[in-house]
Amino acid sequence: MKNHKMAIDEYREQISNYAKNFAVANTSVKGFEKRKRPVNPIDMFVEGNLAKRLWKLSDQFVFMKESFEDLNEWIGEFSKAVPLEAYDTGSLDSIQFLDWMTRNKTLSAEQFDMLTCHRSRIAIENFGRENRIAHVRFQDLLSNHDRLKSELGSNDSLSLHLNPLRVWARFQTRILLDDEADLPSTMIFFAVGIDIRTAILEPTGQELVAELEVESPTRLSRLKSRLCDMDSDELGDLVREMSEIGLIAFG
Amino acid sequence: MVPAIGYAIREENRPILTDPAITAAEITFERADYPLRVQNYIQEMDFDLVSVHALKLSVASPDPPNENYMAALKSIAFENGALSVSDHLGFTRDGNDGVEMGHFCPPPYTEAALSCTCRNIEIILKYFGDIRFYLENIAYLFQWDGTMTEAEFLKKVLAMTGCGLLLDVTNVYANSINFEYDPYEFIADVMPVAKNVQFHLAGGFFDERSEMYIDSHSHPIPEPVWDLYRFALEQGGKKINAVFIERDQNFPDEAGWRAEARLTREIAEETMGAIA
Repeated sequence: MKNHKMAIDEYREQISNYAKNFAVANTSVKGFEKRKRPVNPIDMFVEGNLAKRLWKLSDQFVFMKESFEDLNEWIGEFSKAVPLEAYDTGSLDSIQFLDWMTRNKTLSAEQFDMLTCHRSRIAIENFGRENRIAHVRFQDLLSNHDRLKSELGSNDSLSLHLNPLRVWARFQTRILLDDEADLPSTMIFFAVGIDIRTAILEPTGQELVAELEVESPTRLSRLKSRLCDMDSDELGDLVREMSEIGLIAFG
Repeated sequence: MVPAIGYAIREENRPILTDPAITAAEITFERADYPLRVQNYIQEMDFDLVSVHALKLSVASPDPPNENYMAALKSIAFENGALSVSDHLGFTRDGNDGVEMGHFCPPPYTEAALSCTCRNIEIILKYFGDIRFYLENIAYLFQWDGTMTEAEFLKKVLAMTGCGLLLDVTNVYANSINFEYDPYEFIADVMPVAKNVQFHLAGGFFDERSEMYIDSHSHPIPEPVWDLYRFALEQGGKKINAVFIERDQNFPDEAGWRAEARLTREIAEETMGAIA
């Protein structure tokens, strides 16, 4: 009789063989109880899983379809070459696909920008997963915006909080930008509720975010002393503008 | 006592979740686990029983589920006041650093699979503590060569771990058609071993091409499943604390959603009344 460890090792090998084959739509596995069926049930299982994976990827990349003529073919090619990772939540597969395209396809500058955009959105979601409490707290602060914005000119003890879910991305083409945008252009992605917003900030805005990245929350009075190139009104307008888009919240 | 009755929450059925027939809700973890979500998934609604249904604990894998996944599941359970979590008797991946298949596969019904499954469920039970874990019988398209039947395997898991049974009545019906066994015998055989029980009900279709019943959650619950549900209620009696209806495609209109929940409750009231 086999000892327990040997039996478990054999089981590990057996499951690994099934999973690794099924994950890349390979149906040539043995060991299933054969019944007379008009269709091979292993094929049905694998086809069903593959269709679900293709649908999910296709759905996540739908906004890129116009810029990628062969997107569906690429998704099909990728799905047969790269298995889904364990515990995939959807974003893992997207990242794998983005990496696969970067490695295996010749991309135009516009297509590369589309990939950068998608990577940035996924990065925001992943930060959200890692910093859920910070995200919920910040969104709660944002809900005070209307009440506190009127205090902006008069209350120097207002504290400014920087949106914790944000990521910078640099774009080389205008495919996702206005016709007048400078190139290359740096865009900030950030989360407002369940949405991901973007903004291109003027140098003063970038400076303000950089200051808040060093210290957040920061009192408005302290910020005034640190950003001495900006006068009070200019800073007030900038802070108001950035709080309205959801990049800064008052506390 | 009549079990709590409700739907697996989908955006399409949210408007009818306040129907008086509905007292329970099932959260599909993968739907609730959107990282930018601010509000809790049940949106502060009040239910007698909330359960979180997972897809990737992969209890029959050779490795136990990783702690990050269980922590995320527990966090959704806490946020929504869930009393239970559940997952399927199957595997979706090989090891923790391995690959995901996308859907659960039945394990080979062998002693080695039983040993891994029981060890994994014990880890899950310990991790979730007061939040009870329920194991669901799956609908499968094929079975691996093994040394015991599905019912024997399931009974051993239930007896050895003490976990709850999420009896998917439609899955029993589908497997009984596809693998030619008596669904009533299956339920009568398994039910006595389970200490706590929840039910799933759904509707699929008979696929002419494969000559198999497909558990697609795309149709109204068929009459034979209602009959089997009555029988399962009789068999489970007071051990049953919740019944969840699942629907993922071809969504009914508002009246359709309400009618199925109401019929589920009526049958439970009739059957439990008769038992009392």
